[in-house]
Amino acid sequence: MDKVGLVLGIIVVAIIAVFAAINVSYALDLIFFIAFYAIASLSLNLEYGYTGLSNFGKVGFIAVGAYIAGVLSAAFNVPFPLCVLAAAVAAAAVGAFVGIPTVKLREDYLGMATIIIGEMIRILLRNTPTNSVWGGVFGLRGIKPPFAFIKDPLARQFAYVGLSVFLFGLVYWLIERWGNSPLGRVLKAIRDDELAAKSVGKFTYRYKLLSLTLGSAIAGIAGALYAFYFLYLNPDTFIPLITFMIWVMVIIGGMANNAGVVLGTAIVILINRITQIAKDYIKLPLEPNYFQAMLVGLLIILFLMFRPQGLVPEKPVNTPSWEVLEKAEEEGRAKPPGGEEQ
Amino acid sequence: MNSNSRNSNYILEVIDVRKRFGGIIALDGVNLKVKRGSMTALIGPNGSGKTTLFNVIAGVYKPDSGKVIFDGTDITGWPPEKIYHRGLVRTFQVPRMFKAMTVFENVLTAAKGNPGERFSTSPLRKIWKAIELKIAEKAVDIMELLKILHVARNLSSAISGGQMKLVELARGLMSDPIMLLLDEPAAGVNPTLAHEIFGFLRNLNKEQGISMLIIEHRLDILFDYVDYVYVMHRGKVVAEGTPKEIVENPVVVDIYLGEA
Ligand SMILES: Nc1ncnc2c1ncn2[C@@H]1O[C@H](COP(=O)(O)OP(=O)(O)O)[C@@H](O)[C@H]1O
Ligand SMILES: [Mg+2]
Repeated sequence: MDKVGLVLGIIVVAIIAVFAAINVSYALDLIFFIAFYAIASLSLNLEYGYTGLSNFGKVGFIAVGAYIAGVLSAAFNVPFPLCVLAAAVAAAAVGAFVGIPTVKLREDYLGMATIIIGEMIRILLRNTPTNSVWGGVFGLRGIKPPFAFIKDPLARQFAYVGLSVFLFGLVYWLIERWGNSPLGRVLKAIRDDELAAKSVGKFTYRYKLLSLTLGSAIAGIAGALYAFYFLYLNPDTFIPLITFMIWVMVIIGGMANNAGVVLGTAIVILINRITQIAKDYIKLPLEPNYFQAMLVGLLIILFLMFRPQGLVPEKPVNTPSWEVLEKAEEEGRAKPPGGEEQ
Repeated sequence: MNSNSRNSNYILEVIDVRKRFGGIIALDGVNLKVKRGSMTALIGPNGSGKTTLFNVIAGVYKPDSGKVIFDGTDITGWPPEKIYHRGLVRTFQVPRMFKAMTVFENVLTAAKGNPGERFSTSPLRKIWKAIELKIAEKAVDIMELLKILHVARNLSSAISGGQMKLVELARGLMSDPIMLLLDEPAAGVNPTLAHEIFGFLRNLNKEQGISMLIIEHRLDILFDYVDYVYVMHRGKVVAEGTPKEIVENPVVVDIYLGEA
């Protein structure tokens, strides 16, 4: 079963290598997009995959991070690291704001509240004054590139994509650590049965709120990375379709499995890229954008029907506790009842 | 809490508890007391309100009126997680597993005071490894005792109903509770195994001094093990006494004959 993940992972890397051989800048762009979306989908994995929180407004939290970072850079010349930090804090605050009243209620309330917040943020951004730094429907300009001192454009792109991949690595490490610790068990317990989790003493409200807040902070970091890559932001790039894509990445990758989610992210992005390229060479029976959306829609239906656990299924939480169990088993303590008479 | 009531003879006191669901009066002024260190049974026909009473005691439902005093503390209206930390642990009539997790993880999760359960400390194994190992030893011991160690690696959704009941019990024991509320711990298992489970519970009760209130409706199985029995009918306690007194109580006989 893990072979599936390994084989697909090798295919993904091979495809990126082919792109790199043809056009380095294009491959770097592809890698940036995978890193950016992977941070976002990992944050959804923390919220939904581990904790069971349905955040349908992920794009809104990304937008908050992007715009806060963008405004701080464009209007106040705030350096890149502080912009990223501020983006995380701002998105976390929005996450807490949505979570405090809804996380206590039934699951669907959070879903509804996040859909609304996600769209509200886009509409709010559209309605900022066009003559202000926010830019309204014309978008936000003037973000200062963090590697401006590198004069060669390809080298500059390389440095920035490298930095993004590094940040992705940090986020991956952190969520993997959270997941493979006693905390990971608590989050999964809440996801599987909240009342039972309360009945074994877990303060579930606090955990759910923290999961949503930290997940939002991470989405904010993704947004900041996006802002400093394009150096321009437009409200209408932050549409619900982005949230949908991120959900698809998590579901086909494998909920509560971070490696799976990254794989799912890369696959969805490659499908999008390849259909985009294909439309120049083969005549598609449909408008290419619709075709893409249909393809992804079909993919998710197929997965939900035939492989709901995703490409790489969830694993038990990995802590040193398993060594203790293994030792007990080796000592022959794990006999089935009546086994000794056989 | 005051020390007088803490030292009281009774670990649990339920005082005139009422609870209704729309038109249904599930609890109609329930009064009962559980002696510290005792193994007490709560019996009564289906729908008499036993599970609802457990849910009120354990904080799942707030009572419409009445009080729940545990170990000298008024815990009425406390949330379940706080009650758990106070030392009162319950199991469910229909087992509630963390279903995408293994049996072992289910049991580990129930431990108290694991420093690795915080967002801030969980990334640093050094901080929690030693305690995690101790918790794992304890979980293994408890699972061995309950004879579910051989299914430790199974998904908790992929074991038998009887085993799920034992996983619930194992989770309950992880916290060294002062008192256990067990909702039909031997339901759905054959009489031989049921006797084994009750015998085991009696040992725990005697050796570790854990007080217990146990719902069960097979009177014949219960009576060899428990100290005291309460009988519920239509949301009220209608009889109480030692097992011997209960068998001979005409009210109880009437209720059970009426049901049959
Ligand atoms: N959540 C609920 N909503 C509505 N009615 C309920 C609920 N829980 C229990 N009841 C009703 O309360 C009564 C007592 O049920 P219960 O406590 O489960 O009985 P027992 O455990 O003794 O079989 C029944 O009539 C049941 O239908
Ligand atoms: Mg019941």
